[in-house]
Amino acid sequence: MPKLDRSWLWDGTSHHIQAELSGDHLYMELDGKPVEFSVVKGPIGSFFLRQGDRILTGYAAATAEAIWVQLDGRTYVFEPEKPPRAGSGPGGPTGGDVLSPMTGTVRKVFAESGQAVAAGAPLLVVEAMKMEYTVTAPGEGRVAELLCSVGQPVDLGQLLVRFEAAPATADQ
Amino acid sequence: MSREFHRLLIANRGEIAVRLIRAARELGLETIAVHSDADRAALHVLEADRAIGIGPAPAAESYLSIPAVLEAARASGAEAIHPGYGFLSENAEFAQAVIDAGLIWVGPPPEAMRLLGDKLGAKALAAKLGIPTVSGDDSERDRMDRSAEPLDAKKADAALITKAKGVGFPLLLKAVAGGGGKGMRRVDHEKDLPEAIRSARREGHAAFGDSRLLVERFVSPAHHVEIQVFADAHGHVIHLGERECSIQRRHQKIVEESPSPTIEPAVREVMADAAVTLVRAAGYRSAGTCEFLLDESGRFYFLEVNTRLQVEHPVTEMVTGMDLARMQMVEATGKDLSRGQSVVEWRGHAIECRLYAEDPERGFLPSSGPVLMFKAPEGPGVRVDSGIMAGWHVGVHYDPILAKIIVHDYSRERAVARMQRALAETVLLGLTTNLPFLQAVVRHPEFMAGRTPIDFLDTHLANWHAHESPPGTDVLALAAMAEWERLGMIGNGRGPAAGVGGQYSADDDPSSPWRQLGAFRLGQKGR
Repeated sequence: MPKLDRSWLWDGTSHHIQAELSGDHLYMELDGKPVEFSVVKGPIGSFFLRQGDRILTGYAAATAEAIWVQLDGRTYVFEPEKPPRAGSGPGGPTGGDVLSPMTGTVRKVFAESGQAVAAGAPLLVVEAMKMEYTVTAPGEGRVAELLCSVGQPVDLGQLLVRFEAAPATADQ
Repeated sequence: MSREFHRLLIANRGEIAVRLIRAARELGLETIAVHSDADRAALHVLEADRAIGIGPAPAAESYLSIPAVLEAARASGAEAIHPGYGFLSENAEFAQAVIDAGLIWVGPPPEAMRLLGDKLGAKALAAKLGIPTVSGDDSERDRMDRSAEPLDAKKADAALITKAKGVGFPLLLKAVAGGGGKGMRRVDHEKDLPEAIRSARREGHAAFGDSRLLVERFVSPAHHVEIQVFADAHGHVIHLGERECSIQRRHQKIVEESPSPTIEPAVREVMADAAVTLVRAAGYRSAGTCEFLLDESGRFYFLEVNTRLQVEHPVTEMVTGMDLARMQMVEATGKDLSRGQSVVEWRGHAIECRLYAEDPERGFLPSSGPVLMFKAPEGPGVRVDSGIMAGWHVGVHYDPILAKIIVHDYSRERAVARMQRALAETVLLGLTTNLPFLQAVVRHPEFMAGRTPIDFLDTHLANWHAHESPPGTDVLALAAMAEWERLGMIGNGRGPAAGVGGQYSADDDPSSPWRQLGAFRLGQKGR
């Protein structure tokens, strides 16, 4: 009997789902309340859910990285809640680390490892399909480590710069 | 003198290549596709009769490589080449090389491409024919000193002011190196010029390292309206009406329609006449488009000619019932269009939305990923030109256009409702697209009212966000089903756990043969 008990991220917020499939009945618990659907599975990727005489047709497909759902013309993407990254802690990724905003190629690099930068300072330029995107410093701080070079192909989300934010001033 | 051909090579990819293959197939032609390494299993390759690899993924090494395409033509015995849009379609050198190789070029003569493809040359020809053009001046392009405080600043500014006065007010100062509105200033009065020039130079230099400016007459509120023309080798030129393409983002068109909701019939006549006169004077053949800026008092100004078939040609096809790609292929054999303008009729209204692999919530950054599912809208008056299918991986090497969704109905109001329906039915899972943004455009009251000037997106949807309500039970239930399907835990014949979780059929009826078959599934491979 397929069961699910996990959390997914949608738009930064966590959604916990507890669900169980028995025959063609889907049982879920949401905010402590039980919910039940009868399910008819259509051609791959499409599902018909029925609650009483209410029928929904939706489309959904999952990969290891994301679950895509489209219902009534609206699209939702869920990502698994990331477990703490291996190597987190001293020397590991810190908040403010700069990830590539898209898959493309690094065209220009303006900063060096160890360089202090102001908030919003241009760090590098990534290009894809003739569009250039300037990646800027997320705050005042220091480029702890530059992890890419001109001409290097990069993926969406790839770590480009290890960044250390400047310590907050004593009186906030 | 006619010259028949039977083997056509399509020097393009994606949705336009598929669309051209369809036209060729209807004419009984054998089709040859070319593809980069990344496109080995692309839809246009699968649809063609034959396919030849022409190089690695980067366009410069494949689709833009004249030697590679010509070699593919030679090796395949192609007799004609259609270049599609983009890539080499407006490259007169390529057109000439095709002709020199003894093949038929499905497009205008190289001389006409050269003359009209040069913006300044085309404007000069238009002016000579008495067609109004957008006045402007870009003499600063030749200035070498691009620093914010040039040595001869006074002299440069004085020259620019003189040029600006010649262009007339209101005008726009634009950074020569510019984009995204940086280094751009609107100036309504002569007295505001000096300060506007200084400030635009500073901004242009800060953004692009280049303080040079050009001047352009400001037309507002403006609409981008273009006329589709078609010419044969016998001097006959017809027009197929106009398209309104004012829904643009950084000069990238997103939604187009025909007819224009803005243009008056009398203005249409004059504009169409100007377009026909212009291309005839250039010795044009095949399909072409003349672009104009139209202001709301009905004055129009010539911008440029596109010497090729355009992305948005389907809206013209829907309202005229004519097939432009097929016409191009027939015209290329030297056929005579002498029945002329009288055969063109217009009916109803058509709208096109371009589905892009872009994330509208993150500055329209290109997106990439696998097409897990693609369900195109169908039904009356809906046409979809797409280059993708489920299982395809959308990469970053090429134009992000995935598909064009086109609708036609008897009135604009009905066409808008039909587009809203079509977009609501469109399903694409696996990568981010601009689908929600398109929905926002066609549902916007100003769009529905037909008020679509060229700054429509900047004015009404500049800070658009999807504002989706958080996913409810329904959505989470679907997510759960998808996850179970991925893990092979529900009975779809795939995976080791096929049959677990119960039996599923599209038919709930207990006497349905699907239930009686039990876990038996036809044609499903185990994973």
